[in-house]
Amino acid sequence: MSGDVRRAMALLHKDLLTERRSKASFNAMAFFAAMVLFIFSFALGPDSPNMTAGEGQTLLQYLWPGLLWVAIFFTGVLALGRSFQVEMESGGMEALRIYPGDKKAVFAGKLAANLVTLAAMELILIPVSAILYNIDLWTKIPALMGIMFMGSLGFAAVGTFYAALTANLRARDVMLPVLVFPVLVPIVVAAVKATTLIVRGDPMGEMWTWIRIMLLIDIVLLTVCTLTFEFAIED
Amino acid sequence: MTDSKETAGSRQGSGDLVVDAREVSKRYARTWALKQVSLQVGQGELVSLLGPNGSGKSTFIRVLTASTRPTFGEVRIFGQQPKNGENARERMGVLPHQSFLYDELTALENLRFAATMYGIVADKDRMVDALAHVGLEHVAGAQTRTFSSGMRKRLALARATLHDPDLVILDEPYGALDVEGIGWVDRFIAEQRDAKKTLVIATHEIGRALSLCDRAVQLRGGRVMFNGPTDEYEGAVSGATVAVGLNLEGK
Repeated sequence: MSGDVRRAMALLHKDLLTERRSKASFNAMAFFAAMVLFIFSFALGPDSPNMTAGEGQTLLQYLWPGLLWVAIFFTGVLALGRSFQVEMESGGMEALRIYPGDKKAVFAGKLAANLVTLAAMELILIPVSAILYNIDLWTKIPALMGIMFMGSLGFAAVGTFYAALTANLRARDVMLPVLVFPVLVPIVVAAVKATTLIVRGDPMGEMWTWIRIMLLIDIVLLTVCTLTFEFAIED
Repeated sequence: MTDSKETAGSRQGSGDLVVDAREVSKRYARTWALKQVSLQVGQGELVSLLGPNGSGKSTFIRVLTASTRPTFGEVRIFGQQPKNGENARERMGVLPHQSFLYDELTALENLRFAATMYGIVADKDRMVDALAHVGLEHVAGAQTRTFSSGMRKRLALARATLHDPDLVILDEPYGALDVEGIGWVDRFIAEQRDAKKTLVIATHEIGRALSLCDRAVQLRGGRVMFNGPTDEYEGAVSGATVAVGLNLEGK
């Protein structure tokens, strides 16, 4: 294992250990995700018929893919913002700049930690929302996991980059979603569309098109964020 | 007062320079924190950076450690630019102004993380030895949130030298320490000197710095006001800040 891979793993381990002990991100995320799901449920009504498509579904079932991703992005921003707050609380990002090694390793470690946190949140959010909205996902779990991973990867890449960029700002809690959400529009569209096709079926064979689009977006976001991360953590 | 351009680098040739900073300026917004600061430090030298608050000591340290980029000028550590020079940063140990310890991690875990980041083997015996060296082996498993400022400083010192660096840079090592803590730092500096390490120390403790170091560099308003042997310092430097500092040391 090269030194930079070890550095990335050390950062991942350190961030997860810190999160496991403080539970600062996860508790806030779980509470916020539950609130979002319940608010959608109350606002749209659990038994409201779906008048648009007339597929014998409730409105909540019809809108579930979009609502799920909205909940993931809203709650995920909390975790992403927190990822560099840990560094700020220890005195700033100076320590990460002082250590030798490629700063891409720092990005990789932080990205991996954010992905694990997002995955943990999704593991709770998806079954709970499926039960709450009465959606049968049992046979669709493998395909759904693939889409969740691709959507979360792009989200975590952009979020990690902007969390580092805004960590020193006083208005970072406002600036992070303001900067992240516009960049995420393409991945949101693709992720919601692919999730919808998984849940409702894919009679037109569109799934591979959306998967290719998501892969392309992920590659672009990962490449740009990795190459420019060094400037994001500069003083 | 001595002109920086006359004295800087006059003691060393360029061949064995550990630190070679030339005409370094740093601007934050509209304020110049450093103005054409030059400093050359040779192998095994102990150099103290002195000056009042806001004189540019910490900014200069941050430039040396590649924590911030100079607006103008050039810095070389072991002949490499610290930002891009892997070798330079691997051979440098830094005690920053703040501890940079992770409160949720134990002392041992903090050291283990630093060891991996420095690219050395993070085996437990080595970490425990490092903790024992600064008298913290009995709290190896305690989270650093429970540590006093003196214990945090000692742990940060252990971390700074974990990878056996050739250049040790200390930013305000005596800050927020009691008498026992000050003794620890003094012993640490003496050990580094005995081991022929190169030290750059930014401090307010003028008397202590003059007694421990070979050379003093006085900064004021971001400029070098004196750069020479410590025994010439008192005669060369005049001004209210230094006089007050020396009086306080006397008390």
